[in-house]
Amino acid sequence: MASISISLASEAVGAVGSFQVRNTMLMAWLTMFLLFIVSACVRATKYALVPSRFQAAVEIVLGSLYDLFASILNQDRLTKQFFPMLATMLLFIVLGNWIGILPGVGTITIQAMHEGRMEAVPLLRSMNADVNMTLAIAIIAMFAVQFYGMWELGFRSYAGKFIVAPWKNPMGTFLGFLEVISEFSRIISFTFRLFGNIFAGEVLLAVIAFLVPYIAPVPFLGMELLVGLIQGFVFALLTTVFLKIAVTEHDASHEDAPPASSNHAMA
Amino acid sequence: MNQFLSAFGIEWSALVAQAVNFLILVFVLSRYVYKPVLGIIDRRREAIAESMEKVKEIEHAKEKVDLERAAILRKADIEAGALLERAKTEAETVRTEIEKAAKLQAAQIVTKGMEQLENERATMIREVQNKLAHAIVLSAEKILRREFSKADQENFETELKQNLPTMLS
Repeated sequence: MASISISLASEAVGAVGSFQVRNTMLMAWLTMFLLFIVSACVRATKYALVPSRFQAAVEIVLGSLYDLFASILNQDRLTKQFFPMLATMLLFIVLGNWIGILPGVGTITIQAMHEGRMEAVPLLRSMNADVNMTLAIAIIAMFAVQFYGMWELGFRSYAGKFIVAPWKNPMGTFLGFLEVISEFSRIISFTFRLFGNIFAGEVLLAVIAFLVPYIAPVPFLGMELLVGLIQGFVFALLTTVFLKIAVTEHDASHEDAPPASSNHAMA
Repeated sequence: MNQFLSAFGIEWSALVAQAVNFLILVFVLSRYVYKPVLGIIDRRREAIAESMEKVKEIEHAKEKVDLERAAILRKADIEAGALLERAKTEAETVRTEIEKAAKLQAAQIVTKGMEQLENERATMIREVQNKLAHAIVLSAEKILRREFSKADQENFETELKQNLPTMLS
């Protein structure tokens, strides 16, 4: 009887010097390549004031995303500042998830070294079914949240959210400590929420395809399309909310720190 | 910890590579897609707002022009009425004058005609008298069987001419 092999870790399919090229990395590059093609096509439209159909479609997508982020951030300046990162996060994750369920992904295998022995490993694997990918984006997202928080509120004001003198406000000290833990836990939750959903989807599809190869996987493929879209939105919208919280003055900062000057942010 | 990292296949090199991939994508999309596309959306929004403003201005101007046109038409209507009235009055005056002049002219023509007729009548009577006087002289000559000398004839004719109108009247 045939067997299915499920590996939590992504597999190396080649190497450039000492750098191991993983199957999820190939998918990330493929996703990037598709987005670069879209960029080139958009650039070829010359950004006309009277748009072509393609340009209009791109404008609808980006305009809708802009309005979505703007409805959370409530400030045009902040939306313009954060939009490139948030939109890229959403598009990259959604497109990566979607092309991860294309036929051939996970089924075309090559012989490669895995866990110390030569075995057949998938040439391509959904990029978000790799913790390295989701962790990298989560770290960038949370780093951006901290950076923009400090940039907008000033270092002292922003740090006042985490560091409170115990002799002034013991409860505030404890809450600050919890805030620090919460910030780190967000990286973990971001990472494993996306990874867990996509990896679980892959496992589900593999199991269904193993048990009933024909027809039965179709509804699950549709469901995975939806999951891929939802996970992209969840990731981007949570980052937007965290950014909004980070750049908004908190009450404790008024007690312990001087009011933040956002002049440098305007510069 | 190492077990956890190896179970999930977390490696620093892969992590950094994926982060770099994402950052490159942010840079490229931001430069070639987001900024120009959002820019063109903003420009179009401004252009539409400007156009709407212009449309409002044009509508205002049109309303103003319509009002002015109506006022001008009303004024022109009133002026045309007045002009027509004046023209009628003037035409009436002119007609009266022409009629008067025509009547005068007609009267003059009639008078002139009468005068001419009178003259012609007088001339004719004169001629008739002359011829009649001559005929009477010739008849008298025949009756008297005598020939008048030239001088007698002329005297007789002159006398007849002088007395004939009295005789005929």
